Amino acid sequence: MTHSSGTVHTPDPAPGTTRTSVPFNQFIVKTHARCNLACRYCYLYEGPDTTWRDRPPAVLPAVRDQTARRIGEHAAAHALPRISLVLHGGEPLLDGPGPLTAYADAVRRAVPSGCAVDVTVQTNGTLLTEATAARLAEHRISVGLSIDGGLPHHNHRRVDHAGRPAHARTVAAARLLARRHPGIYAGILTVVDPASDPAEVYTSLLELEPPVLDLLLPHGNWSAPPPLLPSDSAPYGDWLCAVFDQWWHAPSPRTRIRLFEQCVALLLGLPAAGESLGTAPFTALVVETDGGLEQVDSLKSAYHGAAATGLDVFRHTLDDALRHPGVRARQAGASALAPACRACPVVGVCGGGHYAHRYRAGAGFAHPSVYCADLQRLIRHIAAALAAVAPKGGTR
Amino acid sequence: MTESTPQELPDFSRLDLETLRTLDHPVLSDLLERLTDRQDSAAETLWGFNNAVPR
Repeated sequence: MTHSSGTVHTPDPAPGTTRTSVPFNQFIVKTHARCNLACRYCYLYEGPDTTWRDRPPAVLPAVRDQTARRIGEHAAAHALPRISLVLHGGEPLLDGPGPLTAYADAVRRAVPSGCAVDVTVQTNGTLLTEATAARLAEHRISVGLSIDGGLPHHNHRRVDHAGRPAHARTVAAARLLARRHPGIYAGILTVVDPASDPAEVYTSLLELEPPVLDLLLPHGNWSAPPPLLPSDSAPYGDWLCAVFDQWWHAPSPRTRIRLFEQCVALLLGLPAAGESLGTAPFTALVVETDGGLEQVDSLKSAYHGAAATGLDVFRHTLDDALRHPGVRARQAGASALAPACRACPVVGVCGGGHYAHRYRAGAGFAHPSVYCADLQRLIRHIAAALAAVAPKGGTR
Repeated sequence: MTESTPQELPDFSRLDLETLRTLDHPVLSDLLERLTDRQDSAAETLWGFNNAVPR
């Protein structure tokens, strides 16, 4: 039952979940289920989940329009003032900008007049041309790029199906956005490689002038650990701390780094939501090219079918998805965490880390993150940096 | 949780944010300005999905 407060009350909450759910406000729609790259660490196409093989490569108009209707009815039912629409893949630019602008237009038409729609396409940038960028700008679609550093050797794992590097084409896309279309340049996602030089990676990324940068830990878990883990040290934490120091001590802000900003905000007790940190309810939903409703792709790094819900836009509302046990578990906050996490003094900031990184085969997701030591290293480092500048006794 | 680092984090929850904004720290000031003042930033904090950079 939907209440005017914007929450959905569920009659039979699963153990460890709350009775109420927070509406979805971020919709990740798959516009193309294939990719022109074959990145060697890709969790989607190189991981344990192969559900992508059975889906239509490109979204059909009927799926797009029904998805828009479902998003519109969800926005209306919960009186959402603003939603985020993320056009995702695969590589969403494989069929050019047309399907993307059509999707954005359909959702904007479907939501109530008081609901703003922020639209972003997340792309590897290799297919971004001046004409495409101009078309996206006309339709107010911002562009996020994926690149692991500004230099070729930072991107040795980002190659196409013939093994050719993607780096130069993505750099060209970044320069096109920065110089010709800064109004739609959303920023850059970078996957951390602890073997790389953090200062060199950060400095080279700044050359691409991203307004926002996020540093992502490579997906892994206790049963399929990421490179260099488990470890007695914290190689990813050390790498992130090195970048943080460069960013934090800059004489003027050069870019925003989402992971660090979320950490500072959470330390200060300010609202911050994200998959990497914090215990805020997760409010994103994926719609696949066939209309299937899924949880986010990163879960697919755990096991085959991990993101599936069995629901789809033709037979189910998005409130039905809110009642799915997997969705509820991601909205349960600290109560869904492992006992060791709930007792940890860092939990208010780390939130248990990324959900996918907690998985252990046969035992589910109620574990500390495989990156626990790295997160502790980073969070305590940022807390120390904040303490160093905070006035003593200056309380509110 | 790692057993080697059990100490509490510093408590910043009672810090005066207005005072923090006036410190000679450009990155922190910029961040606080956006977190406390701007409508766009307030919305942005809602976007939790990692694998995209929403504007």
